Amino acid sequence: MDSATSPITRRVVDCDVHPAIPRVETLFPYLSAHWVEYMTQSAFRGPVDTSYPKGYPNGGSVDATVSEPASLAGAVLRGPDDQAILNCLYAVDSVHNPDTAHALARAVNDWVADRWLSADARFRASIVVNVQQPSMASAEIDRVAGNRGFVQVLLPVRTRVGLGDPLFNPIYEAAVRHNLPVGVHFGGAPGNAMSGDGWDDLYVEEYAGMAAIAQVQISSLVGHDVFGRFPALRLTFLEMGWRWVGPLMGELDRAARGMHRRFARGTELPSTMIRAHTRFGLTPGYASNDVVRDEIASAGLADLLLFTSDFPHVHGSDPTEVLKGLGPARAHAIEAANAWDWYPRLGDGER
Amino acid sequence: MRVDCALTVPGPSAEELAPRLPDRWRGVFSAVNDRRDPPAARTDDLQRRLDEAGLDGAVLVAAPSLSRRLEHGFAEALALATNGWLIETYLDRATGLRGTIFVATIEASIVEAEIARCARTPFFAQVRFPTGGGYLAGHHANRPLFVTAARQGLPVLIDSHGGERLTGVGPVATTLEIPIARAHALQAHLTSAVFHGILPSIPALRLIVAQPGIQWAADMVDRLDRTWNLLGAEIPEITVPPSRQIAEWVWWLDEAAPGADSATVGEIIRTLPGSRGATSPTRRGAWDSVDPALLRDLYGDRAPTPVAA
Repeated sequence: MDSATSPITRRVVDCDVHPAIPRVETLFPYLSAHWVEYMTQSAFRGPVDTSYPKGYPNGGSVDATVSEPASLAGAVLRGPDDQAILNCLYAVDSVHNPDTAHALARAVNDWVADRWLSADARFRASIVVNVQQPSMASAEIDRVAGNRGFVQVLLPVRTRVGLGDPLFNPIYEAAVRHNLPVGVHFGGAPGNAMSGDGWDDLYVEEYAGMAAIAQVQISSLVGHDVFGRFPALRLTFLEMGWRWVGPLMGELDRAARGMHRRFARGTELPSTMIRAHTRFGLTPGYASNDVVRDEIASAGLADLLLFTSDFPHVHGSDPTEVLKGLGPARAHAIEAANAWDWYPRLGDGER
Repeated sequence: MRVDCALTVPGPSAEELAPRLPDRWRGVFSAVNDRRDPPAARTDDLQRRLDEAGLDGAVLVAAPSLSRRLEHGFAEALALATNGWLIETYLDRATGLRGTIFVATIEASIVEAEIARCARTPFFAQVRFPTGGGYLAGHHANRPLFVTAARQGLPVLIDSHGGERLTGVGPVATTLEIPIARAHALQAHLTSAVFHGILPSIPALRLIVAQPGIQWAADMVDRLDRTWNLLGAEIPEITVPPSRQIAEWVWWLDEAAPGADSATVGEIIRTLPGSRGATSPTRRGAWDSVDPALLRDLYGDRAPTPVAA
């Protein structure tokens, strides 16, 4: 039976949707008088480092659709049982004053809870934190995790040091404490170059290179045995492709097998750790739909993929088309079942 | 004929290079060179490696293991000394062996002079791109090296030397991360070269990719094509699609897939765009049977020949 007519599923969990904060003043009701005065007097316009430069087509149309709950729901939710995880990409990591960044992160989360989660029960959201200050990030996770609408902690993939560094332990401890996956998303403004061998000077280099950053981050997590330290930790890699996951697992397995035990600290092969502890957003596939479907089938990755529209971002292909022709079981896994397993709070009927 | 087109031999120690360096730089080299002692038996060891691998020929790569970037005067002296040392230690002792020209800077006048000097000898088959220099391959600062190599008919070998030290997310901290960090560095260089149009702008250039695993390459090439299709307005001067650039100008070495068997590597390479459209079934160059015609295509009359002491 063709999956397009399969009765198994028509319920979709979209794991990567982006509401936008139109201007910093939007957050003023959620900031203290001190920060409102600080931002007003300093003419602060909000974080300016963006991974989606204005006018570039991958950023999509950032209009009222992504600022209004009803219009965004209309754009991404097609049925009464569909769900969407809102990942607000407000670049708090680019704000160098840690107190300001922390205040902004708090305000974003309160805005998301107040404006979005309460507006539509089909919405879930990720907790925005400042990755540059893990202890503050941990406190923020503890502060808002009681709201069951928050289903994930959100970090940018670009960081000053690898995500395996113990520096990030407070974030992982808090995520595990609340049984929340950690989303790792395209972008970030850590202040260092995209490569250790020099600065890129074109946006196309940054866009195409983000997948390689994700690969390095996973090797950092495995190399530092983060999954040994946090057996319940789960990470979701979003908007950076996934067709590199199979080769990455092969390369890490080969390296681990060739190492003295003291270098390969984990007791499991890296591929086993990656399969158990990571998932990947479907979009972008960086290839034709036929190639993407073939690789999902041949590489045995269907269990690791989560449906992501990445709305309003654009990558040149429609992810819903990928699901057609996959076969009902694989399509069902990717568009809903994998997410239900991965995000336990999706099943909360009442928040 | 079995040829390794990037056979790495230990770089020179301070003791070995001292006679070739001006007084001014000997102490500096001792301070920044990570290799303290020369290997016990260099040429014997090389012969053993060739025999064990069943190799008929090789292009040697030898570079000092440096712990920091170099000032121009020192870089000039070091390249002169290292390339001379390579000739005396290996290349002049057996016929058929070829070497890789070492340059330690991208400063145009130094690079041009050293490549031209080495190209006047019969010993060298390719130039090694100085990764770790602070500029990705597509940066205009690297252009003199590519132009000079192409003018001399020499391919440019790009590997990940130094790429294991620093990544886009800071320093590498564990051993397991090293191969991925190297692949990351290579992806950044290739992406830079493609999107800055280095390859089509120097039609005679041949870029050889070696060392950090090529399993990542097929995905990267598709990603570059997709990026170019979506965001190409940023680089309207780049009219040749990335996959075609890579097919036309990039050669992949078998050695780039450590641990993978030859059939697997062959399959990987065949999935790359260059191989799909190439008249040769593969463009592989190392650790396997190589059609002499393919070697001549890559190296011209500088191709390595069967080694004889």
